Amino acid sequence: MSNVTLRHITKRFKDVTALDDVSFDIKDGEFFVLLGHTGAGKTTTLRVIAGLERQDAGDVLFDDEAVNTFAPADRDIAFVFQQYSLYPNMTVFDNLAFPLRSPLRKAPAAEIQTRVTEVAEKLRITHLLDRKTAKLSGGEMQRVSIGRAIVRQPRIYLMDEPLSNLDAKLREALRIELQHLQKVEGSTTLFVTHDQIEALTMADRIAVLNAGRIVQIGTPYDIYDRPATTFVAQLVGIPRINLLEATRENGTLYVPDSTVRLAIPPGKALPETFLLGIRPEDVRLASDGPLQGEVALTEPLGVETVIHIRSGKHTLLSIVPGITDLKIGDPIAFDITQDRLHTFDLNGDRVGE
Amino acid sequence: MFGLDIPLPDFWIVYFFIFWVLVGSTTTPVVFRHKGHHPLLGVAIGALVGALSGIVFMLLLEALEPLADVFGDPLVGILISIIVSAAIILALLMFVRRFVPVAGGGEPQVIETGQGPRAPVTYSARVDKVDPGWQSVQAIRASVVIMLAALTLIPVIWMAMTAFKSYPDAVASPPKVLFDPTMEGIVTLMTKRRNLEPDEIVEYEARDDLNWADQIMLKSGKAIIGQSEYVTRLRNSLIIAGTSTVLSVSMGLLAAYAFSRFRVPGEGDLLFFILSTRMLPPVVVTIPIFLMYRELGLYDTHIGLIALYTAFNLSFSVWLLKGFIDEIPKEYEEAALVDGYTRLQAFRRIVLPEAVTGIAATTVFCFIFAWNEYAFALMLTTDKARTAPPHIPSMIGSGVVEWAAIAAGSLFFLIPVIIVTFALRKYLLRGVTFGAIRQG
Amino acid sequence: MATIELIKVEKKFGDLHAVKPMDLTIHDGEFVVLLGPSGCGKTTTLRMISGLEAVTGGQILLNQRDVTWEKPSERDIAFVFQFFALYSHMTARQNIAFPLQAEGEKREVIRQRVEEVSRLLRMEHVLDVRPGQLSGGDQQRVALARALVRRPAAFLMDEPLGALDADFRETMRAEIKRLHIDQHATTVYVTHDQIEAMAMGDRIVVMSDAVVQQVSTPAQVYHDPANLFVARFIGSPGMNLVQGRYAQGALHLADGAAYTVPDEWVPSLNAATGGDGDLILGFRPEAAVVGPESQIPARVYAADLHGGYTMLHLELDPDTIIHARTTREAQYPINTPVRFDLNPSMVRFFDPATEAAISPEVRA
Repeated sequence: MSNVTLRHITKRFKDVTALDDVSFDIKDGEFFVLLGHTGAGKTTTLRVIAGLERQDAGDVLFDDEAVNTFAPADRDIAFVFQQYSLYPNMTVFDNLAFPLRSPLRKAPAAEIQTRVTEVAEKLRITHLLDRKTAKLSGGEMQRVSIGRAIVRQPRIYLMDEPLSNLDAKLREALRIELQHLQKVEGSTTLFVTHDQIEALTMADRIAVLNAGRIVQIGTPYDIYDRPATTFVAQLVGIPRINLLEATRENGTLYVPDSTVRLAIPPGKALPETFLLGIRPEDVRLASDGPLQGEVALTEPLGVETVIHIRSGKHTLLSIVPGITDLKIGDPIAFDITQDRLHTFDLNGDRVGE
Repeated sequence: MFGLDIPLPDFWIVYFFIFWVLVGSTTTPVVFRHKGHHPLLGVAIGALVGALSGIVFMLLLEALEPLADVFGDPLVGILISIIVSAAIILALLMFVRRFVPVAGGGEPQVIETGQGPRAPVTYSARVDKVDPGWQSVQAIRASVVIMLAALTLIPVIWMAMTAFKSYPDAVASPPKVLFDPTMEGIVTLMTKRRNLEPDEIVEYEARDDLNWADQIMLKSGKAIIGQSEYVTRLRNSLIIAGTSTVLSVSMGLLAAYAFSRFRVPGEGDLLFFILSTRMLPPVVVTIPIFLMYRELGLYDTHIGLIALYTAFNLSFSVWLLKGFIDEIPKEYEEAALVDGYTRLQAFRRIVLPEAVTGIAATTVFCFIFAWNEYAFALMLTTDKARTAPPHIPSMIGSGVVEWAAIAAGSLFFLIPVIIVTFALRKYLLRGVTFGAIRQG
Repeated sequence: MATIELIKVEKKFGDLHAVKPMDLTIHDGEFVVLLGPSGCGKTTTLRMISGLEAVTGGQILLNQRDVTWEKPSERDIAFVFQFFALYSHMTARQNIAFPLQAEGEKREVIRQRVEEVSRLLRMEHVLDVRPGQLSGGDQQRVALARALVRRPAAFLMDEPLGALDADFRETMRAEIKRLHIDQHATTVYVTHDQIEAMAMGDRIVVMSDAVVQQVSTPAQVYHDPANLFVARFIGSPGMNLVQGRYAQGALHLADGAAYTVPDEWVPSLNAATGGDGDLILGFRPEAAVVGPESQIPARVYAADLHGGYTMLHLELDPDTIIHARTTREAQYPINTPVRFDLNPSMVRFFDPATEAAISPEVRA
């Protein structure tokens, strides 16, 4: 396994800058996630690392060696595509064996047999080896795609949103399996996704990408607890963070046109107007709570319920455990956990530390 | 015809008879299928009733002929006959609809309410497409289309018949539908003959070592002296059309792949340029090309025509194949590239099998163009490399026009194209799936 | 507004049962969700209600009127597709006006209704843009507006949020729900995402393999799943299911541990197993309470941050991993032995053979 470094990668497509001075490094054996919206440049980053695209500026290094001029085949990487990974007219066995039969490897038949069976066992698809890939279900297909990547034992795995096209339940199951597999094998993996649950649960470290620029790099805890910008704050967290414009006056912060009024925690230096971020789990319903509001909507999710609280002209999201019998229009009292406030300046950058 | 005095030329009688059979056999299976029975049963029954209807039609035509004198126009009698025959078939359809039971011991779980088809709908269909009314309309549309198709095939069928007619039959007026077939035309097509003197005829008649072809020719007072050029011409056509097709498809495939996968500078302009060559009427450049070929010594050579056809077909081939290759996700080759295959290997192992449909379709089109090409073949060849299309009309010549020979020549000319298209028909269907991962 | 009734509706493709005969009544103004994995028959059912698919058997009633064989255009329903199905050569406004124009409404009426609907969906600013230039969420809003403008008796939606990014989905989910509450329109909604179903549905129809598994409110499918499929499918992750042998008021697990069954369950479990038999214990991640004095031993397999809480994956025995929800503060390194208890009001039991849930009351 290798470590990978990207230094100042820039890539343009005609007049669109897909990647703008992107730099990060992936340690050996790390599960690194690139998180961002569709079109943020995640796939382009993967393709540049794979050698399927040539960057306009910057270097890609594997184990501190520049691989800019290496062809994809020479970089010894494995790529799992979002779809169209498998050859429809070949059996699962042939699909898995395909990388091993390449002219670069020319592995003998016996070795191919052992490797393929081994990988099939790991992914629990041994019973599918003789089937044509066109006849598999979505989850099975994706398992075979992952198998094709594993069978080669490359330096690094590149995965382009491999779970996005699957049903929610399948995604969950495969996610946990992938996680476990990666920990067991210790393989360096770069995983690209727009789903923040995948990012938070699977990653050792996350890089948030927005319109071709890296916004923040950190562990899942860093990204969740200390988002560097409002973009990152809104990107992670379900339900999404409450973001309100607030003003400071003496020792209190106010959200205009709402009932929200809080004492400023000590040690926080804030500009006069700023953006206040409150995670829904930090908005607690309390019958003796100091803040007032009205229930606008309830969304029962089983394990918890999302309550939309209307406070003046603003709506706050709160999350409460279990089922509630609150109805739309009920008046409600709530409180906000003081030491978990996020504050940003009007440009969206974190402020007030 | 048949000893009946029907006021229509023989040919039309046969056509109308076939018409009624077709109407019956195309509309009845719809109702049968609807009821869950096998449509072939409907075809058989429909054909029988259609035949009956046709016979009634002809009998009525004869019976109603006196009406022509009353109204001064035979059309009235014909119209009445048509109406009665149509009524017979309609009666059959309604009978089947009401009285034929639903197949499979029919207990469809349709709770008895308003309208609804009698048979359970076990295929994917929108609700209005299952409605018997709509289906009848579709059946009628289908029948009309089949009628029109049959109509357009008449010249071909006539040509096939003419190939086997003797000369008097071929030029008979009114045209003969029923005739005694003979191989005279085909023999005329394939051989060179000379006229025999009367005493030679007597001598030949006495001989018993003449083969069947000689005997046929003897009847018209001719002896065979050798093979005609037709076979050579046909062979030239095969070589030239075949080679130019292979060349244009293979080169077009490589070019299409390049345009599809690589960022070629000026791609849009180049592609338009390629297409624009197709906008030129080829006849416009016949003389320049003729002069050029003569200078280069390509006049009357196989290579000359092959090069020309390849050049003309290439633009079409590139455009068609690019469309097909664009549909093959490039992730397939990229996965192979990442695994260590070269582009050429990836192309051979992955793109080629997936593009087979496109290649087959392009081959058929290119072959048909090269095969049928007339103008350049006429201008640029005389003897050695002449293909069949310019040759066949040359048999018209002076004196007697050998209609049967010409018809036979055209008929044989059709056969290779039909074979090629038939062989590739499976690949001409466009339903290729790519094993994409999809939800539900 | 409308009531929809499905009576023994079924669909076969050849011999394959895409939807086995099902009965369903949808009340006026209700938001019903058809939920299930790919291929379970939910989309086919929706298409049968709309008329885009002809039934093989059964009857569909709309406001007590038999519409089984009526064309889709005569059924007074509006369909919202997953991939929007917008006309790319028309602006958003023209797209929304299209159904009314097709019905031959007066121009003034059309203009008014379009404005009304776009105000409702807060999309006045994109009215004169072509769909190709709109984001996914805005495109779906246009599709919704196009459906709303017709004021049909019922709305049918086929995974409308499936093509959107995860965070858009959340916003649009709340919007559709709010719309539904405002308009009080009967809606049938198809999805494979159980979170969507739980958040939006008044009732959920859980389907699997062409068969309806359970029809209940979100609370009921969550807390009282009718069988193992529903237990696994609802909730992320699904219910933890542990097999064991029941005897004398305790469930004996694979590695030798024993779980004392809550008293209120003993009579019905005795009745179900005849005193001694195999059972499956089911509990949701939030039912597990980790603590040193607890009953069941396990080992930490993995721990994930899920934002506001941590999900612990605990290994009971080499074949069984359960998920437990805890606060973020506690740290659990891999392979730490832990013990946990179960909240007695949140446990459920299932029969391994029939896969059905065992009722807490004993039926005489």
